Amino acid sequence: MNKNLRTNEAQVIFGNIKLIARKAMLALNEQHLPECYRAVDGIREVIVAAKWTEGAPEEELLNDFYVLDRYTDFLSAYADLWNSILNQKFSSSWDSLQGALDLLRLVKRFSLIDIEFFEAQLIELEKIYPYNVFFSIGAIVERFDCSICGVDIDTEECPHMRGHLYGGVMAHAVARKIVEMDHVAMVSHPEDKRCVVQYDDAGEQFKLVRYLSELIASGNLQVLNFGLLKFSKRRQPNPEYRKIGRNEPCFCGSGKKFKKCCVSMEYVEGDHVDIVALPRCIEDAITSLMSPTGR
Amino acid sequence: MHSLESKQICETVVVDDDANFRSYIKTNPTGFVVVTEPYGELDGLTLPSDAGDFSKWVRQNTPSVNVETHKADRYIVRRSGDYWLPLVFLASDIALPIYLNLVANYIYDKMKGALKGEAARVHLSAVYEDRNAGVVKRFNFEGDLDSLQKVIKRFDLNQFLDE
Repeated sequence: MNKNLRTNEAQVIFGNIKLIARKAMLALNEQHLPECYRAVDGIREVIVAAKWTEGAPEEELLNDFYVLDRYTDFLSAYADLWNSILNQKFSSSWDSLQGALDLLRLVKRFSLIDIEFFEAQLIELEKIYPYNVFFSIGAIVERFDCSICGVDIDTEECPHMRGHLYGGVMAHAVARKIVEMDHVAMVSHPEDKRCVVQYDDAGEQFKLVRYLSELIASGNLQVLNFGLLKFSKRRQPNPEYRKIGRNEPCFCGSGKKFKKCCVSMEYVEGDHVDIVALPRCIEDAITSLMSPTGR
Repeated sequence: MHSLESKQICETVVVDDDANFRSYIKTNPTGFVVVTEPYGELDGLTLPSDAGDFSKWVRQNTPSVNVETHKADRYIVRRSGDYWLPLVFLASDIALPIYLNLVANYIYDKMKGALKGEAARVHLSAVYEDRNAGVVKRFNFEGDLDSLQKVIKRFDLNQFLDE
């Protein structure tokens, strides 16, 4: 049998929490957020109880518990994300989206739990946010200590590797003595996409997310049905176009005659996005949660 | 504030001032050494923050390759999503394509868990001796993992045609 997790014990626990996860997703889909959060809390209780039952677990089981915890964190972050979108808190919803994606990366890295539905949906969701450029800082640091053993992580004395799991705990490199900040750069490929220009939630920048929010709030689209965007170009009226005499100076301020300048600009080609509902998405999400073999 | 472009660099240049490399190679080393470099007007020598992790990964995953590391006074941390690998001097027992394969495997390992469409970019430099030409060369690369794989294939093909 293909396994989502390394150990049989964790596999059984995952089987138990999938049923509650399904309940959480159905509640979210119907916008019953408190019920969704209660179900996620229920998953946490199952995992905590299982940890107590296992006594002194082996390394692999501890690492599986790490995955189950991150999976539960993901469900919570996923609920936070849609809660923020529905409440038109678009700026903070971006942070929740990045948090959810970070958690999906961890689940994907350390297990075979099927996250394909969420991965595809959230990557699509990212595209309707107004962020393409991100800020990234550079600093000068004296050394990095291991978050597990406290020793300089780059030395042989520390047996841990950054980003690896040891007994259910991830090793991180903790920067010690930051000597100076070196630079701030604008990058398209940042380590953390949360470092962005902050826009007002009511701003024009969130037009698409707001539209999505309204679609869901009005019941015209369910959360789990969102999954596809179709980008195209479409001719639309030019809001700056003014019909004036052909020989008059053009409205655009070029100094040319209207007939030699913007006379043909009554309609312009603009970006257009269709939010396409995928009615089978809910089934995909629940099927992947229910699948005994994962992928 | 700088604006970093997603450009690609793949170049091999003959090194004029190769005193450090020459003195390294005279000691009959094996594997490669991670070399510290000056950075801007900072006192002391530095390494990029990924240097220690990369060296440790090679030691743990390819113990047959000897890795030495010069002690850095400071580390440069760049919070971009790119991998910034240190300058290395390659000993005569490790060909450049072998080193590049190590880098590709390291990046592949780091990218486990990456979501669809996420690609890693890597920056690296290696100094080595081209015995056929009798010169010391520096290979500089900046690009994604696919481009790095293509470079490795090109080196392998050239080597095959030379033999």
